[in-house]
Amino acid sequence: MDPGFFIQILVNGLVNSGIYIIVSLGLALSVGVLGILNISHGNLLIFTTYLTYWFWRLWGLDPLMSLLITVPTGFVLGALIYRGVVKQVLHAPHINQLILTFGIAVVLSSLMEFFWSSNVRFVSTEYQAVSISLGMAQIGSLSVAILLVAFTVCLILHLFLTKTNIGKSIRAVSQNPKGAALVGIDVDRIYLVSFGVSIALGSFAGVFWLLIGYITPYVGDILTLKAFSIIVVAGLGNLYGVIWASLLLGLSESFVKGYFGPGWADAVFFGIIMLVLIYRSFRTEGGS
Amino acid sequence: MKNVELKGIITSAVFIALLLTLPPLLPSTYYLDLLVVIFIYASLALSWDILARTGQISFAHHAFFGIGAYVSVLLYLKGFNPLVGIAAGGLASGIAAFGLGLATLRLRGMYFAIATLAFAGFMHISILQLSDFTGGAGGITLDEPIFGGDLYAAYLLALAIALISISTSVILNRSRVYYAMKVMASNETVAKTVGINVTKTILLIFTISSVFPGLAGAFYAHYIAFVNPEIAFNVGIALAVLAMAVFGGMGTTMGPVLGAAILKIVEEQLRVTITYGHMIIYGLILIAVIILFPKGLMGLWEKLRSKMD
Repeated sequence: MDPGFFIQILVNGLVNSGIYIIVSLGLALSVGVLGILNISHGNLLIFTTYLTYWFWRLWGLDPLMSLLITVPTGFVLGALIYRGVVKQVLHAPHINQLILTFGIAVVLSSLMEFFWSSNVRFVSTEYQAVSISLGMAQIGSLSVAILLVAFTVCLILHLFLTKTNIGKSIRAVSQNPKGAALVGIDVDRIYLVSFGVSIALGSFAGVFWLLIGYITPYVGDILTLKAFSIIVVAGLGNLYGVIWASLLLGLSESFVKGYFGPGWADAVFFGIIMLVLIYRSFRTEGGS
Repeated sequence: MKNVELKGIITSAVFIALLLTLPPLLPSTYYLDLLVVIFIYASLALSWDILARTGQISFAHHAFFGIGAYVSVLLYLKGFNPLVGIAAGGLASGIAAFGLGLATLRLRGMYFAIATLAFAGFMHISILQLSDFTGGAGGITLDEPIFGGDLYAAYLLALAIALISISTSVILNRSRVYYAMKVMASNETVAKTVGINVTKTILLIFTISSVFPGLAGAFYAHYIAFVNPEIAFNVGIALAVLAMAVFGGMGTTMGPVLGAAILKIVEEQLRVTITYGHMIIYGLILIAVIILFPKGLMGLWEKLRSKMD
């Protein structure tokens, strides 16, 4: 086994995991707080990532600079969607909630097809090609940056949820919305903020996804599915579990891709998700 | 009660007779083809809805469609009659659903939905990767469509598949299981307390309801004389089926059938005018229906009727 190849695969897996962590933290936040599985999570984040592509294409704006625009846009988009539609089904049966967010996902994918066609879109910058030599392997500077960024995002989210008032309110609402309302927390506002932050996190990850790869209107569905797998492995709504679950899935995906070919890599996600669900279903009474 | 039943039987008989005599009167085969597709989707939407009545939602409908399609085509290549292949396709789908149902026996709601989604994805990739066996991404082209391309015979077979699905739905909605499903969907604890075996009922309904997408997929593959993973495992099928059932009215027999007919006609019109993004209609319908009239067209109709009385 070639050690250089091994390190390359390891780094690729870690970088993908870094992006998955940020995407999945967003999804885990909205599931944990609102109790609604947002099937349009990936589509929303790719939608804002198309803005990054547009800014770069039309005005030559650096993708990293566009984070200053797309992350707030993600927050506002999330808040609007919460206010406009998600809020209406907070107390509806689960099945209606799933169908609604599925509907949002379809509308967004169709809009993206309409605006940007189904062609593959990517950006090219000078720093994408810069790499650091580690003796046996070359590691892209972007890879290092993504790992640092993922770590920082986890840290900031942790501090936000444990040290700030609004973060503490979010945790209170996720544990017991009625109790939180009784002690004077505006639950509706917390829902709005959580949904906004959830999409903002996604939009943040989207830019890095674009930098190391490409986007199409259908990438969102794939990201949603991957984030699902991760939060299922972590346990729905468990934010800290997301970190190791992302590493597990990101690394296994990368190793399967490296040693068995890219075709089977996606099957890893589905395989693990099935195994974990089946294991859960037999371990606990009632399934959840 | 007896009178209502008699009226129902007579209406359905007249309707079926109408559908049987309709084909020669149609101006072109385009409409015949549209009707065949509507029958297929009516069957798919109904079978999705039958499961949804237990409160479980499946995102794997396209997977059962695909399993049916591939099983029948592979059997055909081995020399079996297409009709045998179609029956086997339905059976294989039912068996696959039984297996998946056993594995995910205790999963509910979101967890079950995700498991079905993962199952569909896994099936899609497996068919794509096992290319020696399945023809991979290129798919398999058959030497001739079913009944040697006789459209009327194919029309009758599609109608038969739709009618079997409709009868199953009607029978289920009149049986004891219907009440069990209704209780389970709204409150599982209550259902268990009154002695309903929830996991057994879900497994039974999941298996029965998955036979129809298998039949539909198998028929469709023979109808167009071609199958590939893009067609057989198209997520668009799962989406369309869901939208049809929700739009028409979940929990009813008429609703999904009506939804399939209306949405398929609308989609055909839109496909001509907007090439990219015509699927948006399904998304908008899902959102609008869930927020404005969660009981669908049938719910609206009921409301209208009670206002008139």
